[in-house]
Amino acid sequence: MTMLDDETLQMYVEEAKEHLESIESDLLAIEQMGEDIDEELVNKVFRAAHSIKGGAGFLGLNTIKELAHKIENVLDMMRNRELVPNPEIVNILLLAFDRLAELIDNVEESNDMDISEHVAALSAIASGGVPESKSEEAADKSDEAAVEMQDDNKIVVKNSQGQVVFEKELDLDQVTKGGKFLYLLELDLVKDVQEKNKQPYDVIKDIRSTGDVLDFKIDLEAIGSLEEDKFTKTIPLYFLYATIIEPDIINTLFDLPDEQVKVISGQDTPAASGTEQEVKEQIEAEKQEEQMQKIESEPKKEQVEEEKIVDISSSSQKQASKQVAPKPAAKKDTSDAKPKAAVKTSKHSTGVHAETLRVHVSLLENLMNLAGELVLSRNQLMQAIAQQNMHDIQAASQRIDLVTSELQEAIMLTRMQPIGNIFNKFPRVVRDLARDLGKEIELILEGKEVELDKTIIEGLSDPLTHLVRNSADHGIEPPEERIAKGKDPVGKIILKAYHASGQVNIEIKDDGRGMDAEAIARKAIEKGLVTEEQVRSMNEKEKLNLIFLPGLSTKEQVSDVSGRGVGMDVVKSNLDKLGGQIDIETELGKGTTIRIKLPLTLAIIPSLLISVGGERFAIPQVNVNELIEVPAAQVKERIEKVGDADVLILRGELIPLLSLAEVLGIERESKFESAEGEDTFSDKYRTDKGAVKVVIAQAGSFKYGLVVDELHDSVEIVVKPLGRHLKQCEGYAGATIMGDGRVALILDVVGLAKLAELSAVNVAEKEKTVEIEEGEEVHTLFLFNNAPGEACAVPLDLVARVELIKAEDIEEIGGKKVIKYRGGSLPVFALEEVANVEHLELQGDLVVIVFVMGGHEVGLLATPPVDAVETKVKIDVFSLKQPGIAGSTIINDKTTLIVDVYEFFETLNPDWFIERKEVAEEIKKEAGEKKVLLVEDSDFFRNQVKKFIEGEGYKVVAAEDGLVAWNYLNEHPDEISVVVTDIEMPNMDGFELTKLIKESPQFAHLPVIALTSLAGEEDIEKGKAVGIDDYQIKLDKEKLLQSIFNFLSKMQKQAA
Amino acid sequence: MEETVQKRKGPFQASCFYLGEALCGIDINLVQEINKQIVYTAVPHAPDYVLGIMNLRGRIVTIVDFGKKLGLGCTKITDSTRIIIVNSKEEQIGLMVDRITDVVNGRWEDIAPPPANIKGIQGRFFLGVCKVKNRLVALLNVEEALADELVKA
Amino acid sequence: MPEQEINFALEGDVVRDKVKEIKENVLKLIQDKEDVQLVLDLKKVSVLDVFGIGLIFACYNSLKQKNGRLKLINVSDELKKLFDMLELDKYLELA
Repeated sequence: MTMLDDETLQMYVEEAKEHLESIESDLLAIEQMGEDIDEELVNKVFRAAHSIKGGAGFLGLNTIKELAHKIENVLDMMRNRELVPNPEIVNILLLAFDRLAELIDNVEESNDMDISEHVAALSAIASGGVPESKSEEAADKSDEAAVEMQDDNKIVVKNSQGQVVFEKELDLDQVTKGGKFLYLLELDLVKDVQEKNKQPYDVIKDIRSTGDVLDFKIDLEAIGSLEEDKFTKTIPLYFLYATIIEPDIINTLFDLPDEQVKVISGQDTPAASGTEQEVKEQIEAEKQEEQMQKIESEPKKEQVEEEKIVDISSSSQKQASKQVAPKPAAKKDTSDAKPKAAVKTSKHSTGVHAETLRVHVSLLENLMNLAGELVLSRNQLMQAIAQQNMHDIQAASQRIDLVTSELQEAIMLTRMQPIGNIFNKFPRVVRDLARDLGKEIELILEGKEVELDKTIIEGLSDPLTHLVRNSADHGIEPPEERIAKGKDPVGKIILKAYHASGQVNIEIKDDGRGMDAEAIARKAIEKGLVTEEQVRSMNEKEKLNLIFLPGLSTKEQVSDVSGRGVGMDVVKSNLDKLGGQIDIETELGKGTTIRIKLPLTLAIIPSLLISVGGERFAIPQVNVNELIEVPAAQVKERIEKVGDADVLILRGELIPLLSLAEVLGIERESKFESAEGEDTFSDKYRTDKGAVKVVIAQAGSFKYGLVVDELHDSVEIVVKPLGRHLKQCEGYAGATIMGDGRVALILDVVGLAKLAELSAVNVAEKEKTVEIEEGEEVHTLFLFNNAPGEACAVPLDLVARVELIKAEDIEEIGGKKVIKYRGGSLPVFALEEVANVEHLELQGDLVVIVFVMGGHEVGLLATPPVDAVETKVKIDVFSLKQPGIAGSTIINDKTTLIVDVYEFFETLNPDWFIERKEVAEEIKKEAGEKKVLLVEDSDFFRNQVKKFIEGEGYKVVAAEDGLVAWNYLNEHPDEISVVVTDIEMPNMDGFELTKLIKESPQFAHLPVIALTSLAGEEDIEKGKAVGIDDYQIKLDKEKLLQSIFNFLSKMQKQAA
Repeated sequence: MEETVQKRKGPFQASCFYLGEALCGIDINLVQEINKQIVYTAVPHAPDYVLGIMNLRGRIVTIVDFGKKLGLGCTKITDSTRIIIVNSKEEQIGLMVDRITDVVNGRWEDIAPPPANIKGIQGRFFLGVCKVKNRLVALLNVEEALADELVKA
Repeated sequence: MPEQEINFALEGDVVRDKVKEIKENVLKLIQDKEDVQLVLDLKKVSVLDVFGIGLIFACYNSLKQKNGRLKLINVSDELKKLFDMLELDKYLELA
């Protein structure tokens, strides 16, 4: 080895790399243009090869020089138009440049590396020969030892004669972890030991002590018996050997001829003799062998994701991150050892490379400035301290604070790299894939300039590659299929990056087959990953997300292209590590869009500090939607139970609640107890003073309320990863060290929800998906089945509780059905007792919907499942109308009967409602015929409300709009005693009407009760502002009637 | 498939400590430091042998009840309890042990394969045993001892 | 089936030049015999080279053809180390 000056060498390497940077895209462009040769472009590539050659010659790097020279020859012919670039030729050039890059990466060993294949291929082109077709080349290589991977981590290793030597169950990733290589060594005791004057003991000991012998075999057949004379000629031994010794030197080390050392797998491009071309052909040979030997590989329809096939197309990954020098060795070791043909790291090359980064000069200047500022501020501080000048100390420390933050930001920015760095490798990847798969694919890149933290970019490389491959492999159909479907034969894959709401979004969009949620679900059930029951309750999105479960692959056959044992689960876990999320949108037959969301920086994030049970935790600000403190007085109204879940009512939305203390199993310091007789289910959420502090946490479209003890400040924290023993804890995204040196865990919003199994009641999510148009009524309905399949609904507001019972629990007492309930008994009824509906079979599991009617608790029997939905109610009040049924509507494509709860129970138990009626009669008698003015634009609700107000004994004048109501008032000034009005109305809404009423001296005295389906904070405030006296939720008849009653009796008293 | 026979030659030094009644040793090259302060922040829902995490000069270090991890009961914290910070797979991990004793010198060749059970700890966690000054020191295979049993949630 | 035990002591250098002779001798002993256990006494063996190893394997193969077994006794420590390297104990009995 020539004595090379480290510095000079380093400079050469850096320069060479710069030359090599754009070669790939240039060559692809040249290929595209075909006959239309762009001389300038070819010249550019030529000059690059030429420079590399020159420097190599000077430094004695002969192999590099030779390869570069051969490349030069071909390019020269091209620029002289003696040669037309075709895909075959360009391919050879690409591979040659790949090899050149490898040589440069391992510059110190480059002279020992083999380039014979590339030289041969390039020479062939230069001398006018047609590059051999793949199958021919493959045939030439069929005498090489083939290594076959079968599924289930089994490998079959054959020697040069094609005989099976080892058949073993092996986790290749595990074996080659830490940079090891797996070899098949063939040691002939006679040839390689005796004849070389070595001792068998020593030789074998050497092998065994420098690596792991995973398996060992003696070829007894070759040795033969005493009768024969074979054993004096050959005694072959086989070792299945894992070691960190590299392919380049292992032959020399053990003094074995090349054919006896076969590389099976390893971190580097597996190559016994070191060329990528050869290995590619090896795989081709294996593929053909596989087809020929059906016995070996069972014809399987589905291959498990664990199948590993040495994938060398990924050698194009090496081109990644050209701006960033080789990935750190550390990363290699901690990676989950996916078989990647990797960028060579400083571990392999003998430390010539330092890791480098490209940074904008302006950024550096900024850093210089900030450093300067910091120095100034520090001087100021020192001076101020010396002088004991408190004021100056404060000023200086403020300045330091500011400058430090800016400095921090600026340094973070230096780590930002454009995503184009990894995007740029994809044209080649897609091109190669398309060729291999016989498809036509166009790749469009958008947003190459979007910047991300360096670590994130590095971590994205693999997942993105897998996803792009998936698109090409599973997504895009072969041209014939596309044409048959009426699509453009050329499939499109769009790889796009953009910023949105504080995150970086990356989309991989294809116009291919789309993903079949049902097929995925079925596959998951087959593999035992989910049960049929669970699947039944899943929506499409949830089914699609099953694809992220480990062990799932819906491919019919695994192509060696993407079936690498790198499943979607690995993609997801990689993204999780980066703090990213992944989302699938698909339409069968049309295409799929996979969206990845990532935080902008990895290391420092703004967070909210909270505490629970005296322990502090941090929640990333990006996941914090809102902070709510529900005062003690409002807790009863705003926190309710819906089925199994506790929810918070926030501006009309139902938000599931999670007690952080409960999820984490932390003892809370404060214990709050409700007054006697009150609902205690919400106690666990309350602080000492009875209030409930909620952090509305959000991740993607998923929202819930996290109940905590204390809310603290918002701080910027440095995220530190948790050790491997804690990686499985789903609720944490890392840990941080706070100002006082103490450690606080960072909560993972999604993980916490999983811990609490919140996904079952995704009420919030459902509500998000409904688009609310202006002016339309939105109500929350509680859905259930009378008989199975007979969909019914009641307004959720009226539902007090929902209980799950068994049919056996129902007892009959005096002809009435009851169940034991909370220490007493609850009368229960079936809908058929009043309405003409299907018979409800009392068997198995049943649901009891508990209402409070006339001060009594009653239950309505139903069949599970139950659900709640926020929906625009278009209620048909005409058809299907009957006693007990208010009307019908269509929900989820099903006709749903809206139960008139009031009427239902009144029919059954008229005596319950007598009391108030009596009083109402009284009032009527005393007050005369006082009327209630009801203003409501929806027919349905107008009728409903009118009916039950009348049912109370009042007279009602109904108006369908504010304007109509106002006119009526003016025309009949003394008729009306109370106004009950809706808010949302077309011509004049409730607020305006109220305003008019309250501002007019004539009607200002009229109590105005507003009816609304939205009892949000804002509305209430607004209402108060215009003078609304009371807010009632629509269809809560009891309360409304009570309210009317109150106002009227008050007025009575006043009048009296 | 483990090769428990020591292939190494030459001298070694081991940092020794007690886990329950077992006198254990760790190759001193793996030991970073030994702390007296038993300080950590609990991590709810962590595996039972993880006591918590601590701040070691800016790095988050997982603190493990070493005895518990190896199958003994919970380690009682006394005055002699210590935390040994070891380097394992690019991470620093703190092992809480009962009592530290002297560093011992030995030779790899003198190591005998471990018995199936050493005072309640399974033999598989050890590289081997060696006799030093009339005491039997069981050398720990740190990687094996710290291997996380992957329980898929 | 009663098993016949045949003992044979190897002596001196079990190396290339001598191996042929030893081979002939062993063949004479086991030829036409089924079900035998051949016991090779290695006490007096001074050197065993590659051909010696080959010889042992060839013995094994021959015996296997005849449904027999091979056992080596009085194996010196040094030879044992060599045999361990070859995982010989997988094929035959060592004592």
